[in-house]
Amino acid sequence: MANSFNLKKFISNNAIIILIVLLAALTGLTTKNFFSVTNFKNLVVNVSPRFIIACGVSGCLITKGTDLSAGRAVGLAACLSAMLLQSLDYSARMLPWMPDIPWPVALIIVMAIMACFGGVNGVVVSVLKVPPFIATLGMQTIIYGLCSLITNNQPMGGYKTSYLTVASGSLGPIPYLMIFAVVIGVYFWFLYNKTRHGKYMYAIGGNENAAQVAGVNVRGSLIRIYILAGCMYALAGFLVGAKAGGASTATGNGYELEAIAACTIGGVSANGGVGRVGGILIGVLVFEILKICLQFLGVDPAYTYIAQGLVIVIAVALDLRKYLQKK
Amino acid sequence: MAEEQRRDVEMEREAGQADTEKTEEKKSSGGSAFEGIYDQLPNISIRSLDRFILLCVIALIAVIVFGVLRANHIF
Repeated sequence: MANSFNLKKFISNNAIIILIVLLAALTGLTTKNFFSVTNFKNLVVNVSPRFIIACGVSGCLITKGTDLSAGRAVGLAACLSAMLLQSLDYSARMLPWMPDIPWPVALIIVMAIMACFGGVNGVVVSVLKVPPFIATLGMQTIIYGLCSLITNNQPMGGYKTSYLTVASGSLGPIPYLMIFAVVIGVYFWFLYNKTRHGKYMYAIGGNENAAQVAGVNVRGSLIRIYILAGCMYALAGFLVGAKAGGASTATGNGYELEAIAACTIGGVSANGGVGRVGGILIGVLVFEILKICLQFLGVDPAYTYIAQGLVIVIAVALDLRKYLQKK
Repeated sequence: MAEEQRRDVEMEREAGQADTEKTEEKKSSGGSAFEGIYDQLPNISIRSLDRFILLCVIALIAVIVFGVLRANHIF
């Protein structure tokens, strides 16, 4: 009796993951090369930047906020990286006067710029008490406008080889992108579980007033969370640009919703105060495996969007179910 | 009579204070569009939610199957 109850609970808590595993097994059995090293590498390369974005968004979600500017921030970061890292002999350079700079320096510059945008988001949310939904929606449009201005709506390419290698290179069999994602994952795990900042974040998400009364610097914590999110979008944009070999104002469009959906699938509650890095990774993987499976099965992308939407609805319904059970 | 009136006035004052506290509480924590998102929903039973989830899962499977069938020109 107890076993059947546990099984039911397990199935209801992990319904989406079970469905995706079944779909992956079915795809693997009916198509060629699904369970291949190349496909696994492809999965890892696609998941890495999305996982980094989702880690950034997760902090906002755990504190009952959100960040709708994530996708456009990724796009701006990709465009800034492109401007800084175009090859010197490329004829259509956006900034012809720009000297040759190493990619780590460019990454630091882009991260610093995007941290400023994150900081503005944090200040607007925590000090001016503007709902994050509105504040970050405004920032999304502002960033898009800025991105269009600085790029003149022109797509950019002609990157330096060293920048392209960041995405295409690998350390033995492990792609560099995966190394970036693992480092960020470990950093976030440490930050969420072993630091005061992480404890404050969960406390704010659980009950902001109680956290404030308990002596948590709510404003400071929220600003730090949004700055960190900005840095993650910068890193993700840098990697997305290198992976695609080009960037435009359309880069990163819709990434914010994918990231929020992945977090929700991974157990980050829309009600705040709950969320684990492992869950976020599972959420991103579920989303990406679903896409790859349907691609392998030759399904029209329109159906993929419908399936993704349904997965999000199920994830939110399961989250609500957990909340009702606790209540 | 006078005592009753005084008690009524006190009760009203207390109720007013409670309302003000509630409003202040809402103001200080009302920074998020997601704040108390589930509390704002009407009463839903877990059973009806389970039915909804089941319906969505069936719809998801149907979409995938339909997509695969279309891809294979069966439909």
